[in-house]
Amino acid sequence: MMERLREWWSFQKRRFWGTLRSIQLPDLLRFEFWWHLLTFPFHWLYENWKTGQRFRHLLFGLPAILFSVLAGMMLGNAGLQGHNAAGTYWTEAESALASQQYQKAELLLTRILRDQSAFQNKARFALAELYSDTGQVDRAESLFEILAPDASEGYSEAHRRLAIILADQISPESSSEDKRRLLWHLDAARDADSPEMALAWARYSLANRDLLTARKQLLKAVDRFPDVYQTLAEIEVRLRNPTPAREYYEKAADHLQKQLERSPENYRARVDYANVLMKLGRLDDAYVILEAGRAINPEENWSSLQASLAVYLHDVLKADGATIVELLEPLGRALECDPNHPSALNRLMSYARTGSGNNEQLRRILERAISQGNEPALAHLALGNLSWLEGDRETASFHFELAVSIRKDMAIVLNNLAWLISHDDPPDLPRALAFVESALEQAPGRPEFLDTRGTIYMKMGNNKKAIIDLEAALPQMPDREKPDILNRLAEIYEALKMHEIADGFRDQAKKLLGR
Amino acid sequence: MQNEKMSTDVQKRPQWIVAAVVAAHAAFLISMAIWLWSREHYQFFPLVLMGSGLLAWLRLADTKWNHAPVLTVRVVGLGMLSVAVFAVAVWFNSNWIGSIGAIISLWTAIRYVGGPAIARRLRGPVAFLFLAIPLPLNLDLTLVIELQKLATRLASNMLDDRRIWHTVSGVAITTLDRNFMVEEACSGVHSLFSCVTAVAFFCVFQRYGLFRSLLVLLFSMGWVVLANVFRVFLVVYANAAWQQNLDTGWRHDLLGIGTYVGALICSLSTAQLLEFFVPVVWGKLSDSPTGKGKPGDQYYGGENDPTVRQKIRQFLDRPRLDEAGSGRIVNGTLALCMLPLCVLSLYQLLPSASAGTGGAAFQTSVLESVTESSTPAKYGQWKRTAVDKVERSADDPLGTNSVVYTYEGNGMLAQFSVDGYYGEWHDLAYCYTALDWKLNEARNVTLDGNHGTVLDLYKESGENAVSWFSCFDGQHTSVEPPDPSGSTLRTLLNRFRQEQSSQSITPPVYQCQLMVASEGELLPHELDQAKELFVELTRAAVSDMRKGVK
Repeated sequence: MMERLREWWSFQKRRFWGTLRSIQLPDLLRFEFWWHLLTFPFHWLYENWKTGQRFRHLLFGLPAILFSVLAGMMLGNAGLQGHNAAGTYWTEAESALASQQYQKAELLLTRILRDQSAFQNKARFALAELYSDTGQVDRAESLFEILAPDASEGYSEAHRRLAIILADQISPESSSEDKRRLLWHLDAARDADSPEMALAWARYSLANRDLLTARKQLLKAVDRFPDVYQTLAEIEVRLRNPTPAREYYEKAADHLQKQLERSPENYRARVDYANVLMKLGRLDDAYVILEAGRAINPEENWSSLQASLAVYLHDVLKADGATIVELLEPLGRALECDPNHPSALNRLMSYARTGSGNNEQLRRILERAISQGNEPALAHLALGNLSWLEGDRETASFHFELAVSIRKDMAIVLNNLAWLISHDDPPDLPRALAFVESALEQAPGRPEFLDTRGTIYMKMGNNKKAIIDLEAALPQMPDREKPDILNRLAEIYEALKMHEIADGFRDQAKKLLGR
Repeated sequence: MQNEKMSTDVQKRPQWIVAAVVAAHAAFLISMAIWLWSREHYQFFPLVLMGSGLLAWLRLADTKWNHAPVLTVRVVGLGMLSVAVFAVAVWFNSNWIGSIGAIISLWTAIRYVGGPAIARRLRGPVAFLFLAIPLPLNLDLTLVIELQKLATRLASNMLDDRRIWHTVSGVAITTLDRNFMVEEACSGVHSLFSCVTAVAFFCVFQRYGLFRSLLVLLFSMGWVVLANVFRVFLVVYANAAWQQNLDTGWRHDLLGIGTYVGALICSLSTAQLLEFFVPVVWGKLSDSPTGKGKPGDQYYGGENDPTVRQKIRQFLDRPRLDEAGSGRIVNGTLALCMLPLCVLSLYQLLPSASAGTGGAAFQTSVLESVTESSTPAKYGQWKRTAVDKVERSADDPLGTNSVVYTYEGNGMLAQFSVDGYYGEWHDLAYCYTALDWKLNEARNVTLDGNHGTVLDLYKESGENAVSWFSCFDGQHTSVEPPDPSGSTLRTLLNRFRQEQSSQSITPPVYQCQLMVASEGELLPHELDQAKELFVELTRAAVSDMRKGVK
């Protein structure tokens, strides 16, 4: 039994293994198949090597192998390099721009743009800035327009740049279209935190008279741009916050002082500093600053600034209730600095205009000013004006002549006053004539005075006398002043129906303007 | 003696038939020869003819011509094909088809008079003749341009690898100091065709099979391209890195010769290497140079057990008629088919009396319809700065009249003109090539719903220009342009198209074009701006033309 069982078991085992061994996998699943496929080329080459091979062919084929490998290496390497060409060129372009090698930078950036791969917007922006720096304005603007279009969102850096430029030009008087355009670019710049953009936003807010937002933005920018302390102070003044205003003026003064110490020739900083000192009530310091500026750079218009300072002092004194005598002193100083200063002249005229019951009091004040020697020339001028208004021409002329004889520059003042009055609304032509004739008495034949008198005669309708004065003044005037005189002469001759002469004057004026 | 006379007659007869069928195509062959000679990169074609002759002479050196010319199925089939091709060539007046027909006719004649044995020997030399046929459909011009671009591109990659900063514009490489034009010579066009010819000669001489020959030729083209990439790279690199000028004078010539020789050596070396890995196996026949039989012979079966291929061969080459009957049919075919076609082809050589395309004398003038204010004075950033009216002679290809508007803006100077009148669509590319501009690329586009063509031009000096133009007929409908640039086959296609479209074009035809030139290639945004200007100005000009043309 056991024997039979053992035999049966062996049989089954043999059968089982036999069946197993007879199972054939498909070729695709057999290792031998794939191995044969893989090694076939080598077998094939080897068989051919054994059967028909000649050493000479291999020898002659060596140059092909060598150059293939070399070419493969060079081109492969170059090809890999080519994938990152844009990055390499951009890095090199940044370096060239930083060292102001514009020609090289232009070449590199142009390559990036022509390849139309990566860094397109950056390259365009950099190229636009390069064109702008090298004077190729049209090309620069063309690129900037593409980068920062007005109707769609472009490259944020370009929007940022344009927003800063537009903000510099914006004012409350700008049109709504301009403001809308600025707002668009401010938004598209997607940068509300940087000091430059904060400043731009502040300017936009100021243009819209949104002082609170402007203040908020300026506070973000003030660390980077200390110049805005002044603006902050002015905002606080308008918001009626004197204490913060004063603090900001103080900071502005500190900053401007340091700036002037570093570069004393900085005209803008000096003017701003003087202005700030004036706002702080430090008028003498302001005056000294301006005087220092005159010493450094005499060509600038310091006189007018000093005159403005004196007028400001006058206003402050007037607000404090100073007397006319005290008020005349700064006016006198203003006109001394700049006899043509409109604000000083107007304030002076405001005293001479009065025709009310205060005239007597004003007269007494002015007479006392003369007796005390306080600006007698101006006092005589004001008295002369007062007399004129009261109809006393003789006394008026007397005072005018005295004024002119005391101060040499009074003639210019009188001339300028005459001009102002004759162009006033309504003009007081007789008074203006009296002023200018007084001025001519001191400096007869002076072309500016003749021009003023001729103009007054023209407005009076006295064409003949106007022509005499204007034609006398014309040859002596500088070319830049001649077109106005020529046009007035043309107007007069036109009124006299002498059209050809009028046309002649007009043509001369056009020629001078065309130069 | 009679046998000797017969064999002499047999030897004399083949010459006149072969010569006759080739001579029948003389009109096309001569015109083709003139055309080939006018193209610098095809001026090697006499060498092809000489090479073919030399190979044929070598192959036939010890051959006995003892085949009686008889008609077989193969010969009849080839004969019909050659007559058909000849007829098509005459119908379309195509030199290209005529030249191919001449080769087919030559092969047919060889097959007829020489039999399979001679034909097998002369297969290579006859196939070699195809190298003298230019590529069809303007592929050679496309190849020229593509090779120039390829050489430029690969050389540019290598220059980038060596950190030689440069830009690539079309076929020009500009470095910081200089502008290098990748001329046709540098791009390897000349060396490609001549190198391919030399390698093909080698293949035919070595009696390589078709597949091996094609493979070797393919490799040789690759070597030529590589050699010229290296040449372009070296010219620019030598100037930038070593301040040496290799683009002019004897150095340039030496470099050219060196790269050509190098390409040739590498091509032949590749053939040898291929032979090392895959040796040429010769069969039983003793036609090979080494006397070991020709390739493929091992596929032939024995006489008692022919393969399918051999059965087909036997069918095709079995004589169907006797020699006399075959001779009559062949003579009849020559007289009735070849001769009239030959006469027709010669007749078509006579100068044509048809009107030319330049400057038809029309009663009205473009100047009457288009004025100074026909285009806007300002468009975007563009501003019109000048308007000029030009009058030319009636046969001037530029057109009898033109009104030229000059615009400045976006840092560019553009000239827009309305030119006319023409009898049909006017290909501006020819005019510009006559003015020393070279054509980089021409492509047809649709602008504002109108057919148009864009020309990419350059000069030797490195100046680049882009020109957009559209033609409008008397109905102010834009005229569809044919495929850009020209070839003999294009002339055929144009003529065919002209017959079809002559009903749809109403003369006179006028042209609106805009050209912008610059020192370097225009940037993409500048191209867009100029294109916009062209569209706008064309719209304005056509609108005025509508009012003016009667």
